[in-house]
Amino acid sequence: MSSLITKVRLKQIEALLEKGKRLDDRSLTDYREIQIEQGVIEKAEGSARVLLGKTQVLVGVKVETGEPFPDTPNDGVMTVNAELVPLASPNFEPGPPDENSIELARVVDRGIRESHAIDTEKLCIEPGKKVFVVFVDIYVLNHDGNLIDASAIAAVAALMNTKMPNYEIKDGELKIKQGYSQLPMKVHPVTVTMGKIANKLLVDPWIEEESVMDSRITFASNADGNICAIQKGGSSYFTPQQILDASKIALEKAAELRKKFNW
Amino acid sequence: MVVDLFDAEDKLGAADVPVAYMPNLNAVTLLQMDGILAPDEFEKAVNMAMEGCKQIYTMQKEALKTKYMVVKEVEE
Repeated sequence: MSSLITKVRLKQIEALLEKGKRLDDRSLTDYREIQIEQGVIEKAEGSARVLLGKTQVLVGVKVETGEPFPDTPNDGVMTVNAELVPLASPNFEPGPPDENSIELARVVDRGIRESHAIDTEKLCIEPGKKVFVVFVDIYVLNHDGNLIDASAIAAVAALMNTKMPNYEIKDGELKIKQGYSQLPMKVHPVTVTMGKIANKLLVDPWIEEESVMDSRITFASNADGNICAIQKGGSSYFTPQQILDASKIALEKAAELRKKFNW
Repeated sequence: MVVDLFDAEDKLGAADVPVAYMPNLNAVTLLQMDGILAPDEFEKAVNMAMEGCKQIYTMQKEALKTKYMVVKEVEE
């Protein structure tokens, strides 16, 4: 976006913020409308599509067998990947993943990993040799801001929707049986992202706000109201007080979302 | 809860919170957290990290002062 437009927009946004308002008529702590649709990809073990305002994210989950990491021989493996599809935004280019898509995948990954969302011990087939590997693939279909929350919600919704093949071990060989069972999950983490513009915290920044915001902070939390992962992003700073304020807002919003989704 | 953790603490700890802080501007420039913390524990962790940063800041200032005071004396 050209810097002149950005400056004009920033002034407009700042003037509105003074009155506690935003460009799209939300209050500072309002989310845009969220829609979750599960099981949208037939060929995947699990999938979900999330609409957060006009931001649209599709997540597919694939379950395969593979080797565990040497330091966690009894645990299944989860990997998160994100792809910013060029049709989602004029700023997304085809080619190898750039830092934005890597950051997106990392933040979503940590929310799920650190909250121990997946019961990885139940994914172990043969300790140290064979475990289930869960691939979470994020596809951003339309970018209208706050990809992190949209992707994190979609990833958890897709995992909740994931079916694993039934199996048995016969003479040391893995045999896939008929039928499926639910992917074992312990926690459904909820991720809340805030942006900072003119020293004010805004929940769920959309693209116009993202283009002018100073910095961003993301909190993932579990159903007990504990914080599981935090990531600060952007080049500017937060004061310690703003961080504590942000953590309170994040936990409140997470509880609200949890209620809404029935998680 | 501890600051400046060593290897075993890092591996066995329930959560870790790296923080970068600029004491003069009262600005947190980096904040990450992995693991599970209750809200009051998190508040305590942030405050402890701030204190740690301030300690290092005074030490950095001291170190720079000592070094350049010496140079100055030599020049004179």
